[in-house]
Parts: sequence; structure tokens; C-alpha cells
Amino acid sequence: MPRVGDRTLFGGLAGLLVGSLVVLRFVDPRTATWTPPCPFHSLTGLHCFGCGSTRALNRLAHGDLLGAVDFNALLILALPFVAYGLARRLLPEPFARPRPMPPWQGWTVVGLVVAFGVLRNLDVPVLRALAP
Amino acid sequence: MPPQGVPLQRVENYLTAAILTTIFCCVPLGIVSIVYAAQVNGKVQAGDVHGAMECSQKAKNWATAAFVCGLIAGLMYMLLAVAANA
Repeated sequence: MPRVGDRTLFGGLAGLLVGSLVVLRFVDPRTATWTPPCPFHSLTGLHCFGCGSTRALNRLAHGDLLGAVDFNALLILALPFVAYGLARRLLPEPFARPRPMPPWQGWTVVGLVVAFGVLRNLDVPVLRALAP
Repeated sequence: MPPQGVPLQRVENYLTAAILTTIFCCVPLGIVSIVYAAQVNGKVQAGDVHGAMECSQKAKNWATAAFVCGLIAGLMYMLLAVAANA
């Protein structure tokens, strides 16, 4: 496997995020026919933890924060942390302070993501708000 | 006892990248990356800098593989969808 530079990997992730926001500013995934749907939802009919992300980013690109939270609350909650982590790895020297995430934090995130994926499928009045 | 020359903060564990690529790109490949990334800090603390670097490299490679797979799958879907509607 070829060696990949840190800047390529983190830059690619940041580019994907920013690029998606720019494209989704002009494209509404609710009407567009070419934006990819969730394969998990297509197969099972259930909502996965990522379902609603495209629509959430579309709302966010229009400055509609509440609308974005409505489609995927966890994604919107995570975005500031993601942006901070990527910025710390991509900005030039005085701002670059990459601090690796401790494993317990990583597993906590994994647990939160799985819990979110389960909770948003439950047919309970309060939890129904988590579904896209 | 932290090993000399390589403080804990300096071995990137790629946990952030591993989680992001798991969620947004490709779950199976990303999970492998998370498993490797989660081992890096422990190995540094145990003084096994060589092992930590190895896990760090593997975590990065699997995260990159997940990223590329997700990107290709997404682009292929979009291409096919545009072609089907053309």
C-alpha cells in the first residue's frame, strides 16, 4: 500500500466536508435524483446513524441550523469537534497542535454513534425526533 | 515512563480520521482502522514506540482505504444515477 501523507488524508476529509457543503448549497437532496441514498436504509427500511446527513448538510448550507438538527442531530453536534480536530492538523505552524484522541474518547464516540443509530429507530414519542 | 524523543502527543493515532471514515465512507474498513488507532497510545505508554508507529501506520492506511472506497462508491452511484436519468 502506498504511503499517504497526513495532509492528504486530513485534507481529503476536510475537502469532502467543505465540498459537500458547497454542492449542497445549490442542490436539494430531497428533489435531486443523483444524490446517493443510504444503502442501509434502502435495504432494511431502518434509519442508520448517518441517515439524513445529506439533507442536514443541505439545511446547514442554507444557514438553517434547526432544520439541520432535525435531519441528523448527531452530525450537527459532531461538526464543531470535527472541524476543530481537522483544523488543528491542517493549519500552518502556530495553530497546528495535533493532539491524538485518547482511545476512551474514541470508544465513547463509537458507543454514542451506535446508541444514536438504535434510539432513532424506536417508536417512542421523544425519540421520534431523532429520526430524519 | 515516556520514551525519550517521542512524547505521547507526537505519535498520531489517527483515531479522528478512523472514526470519520467509518461513519462517512466505509464501515468495515473504517472499523479496522479504529481498532489499530485505539492501540497506539497504550503502546507508547508501555514504551513500545516501534509497535505504536506500526499501529499508527496501519490505522492511517485503513482509514485511507475506507476514504477511497467511500469516495469511489459515492461517485459511481452519482455517475450511474446521472446516466440512468439522461
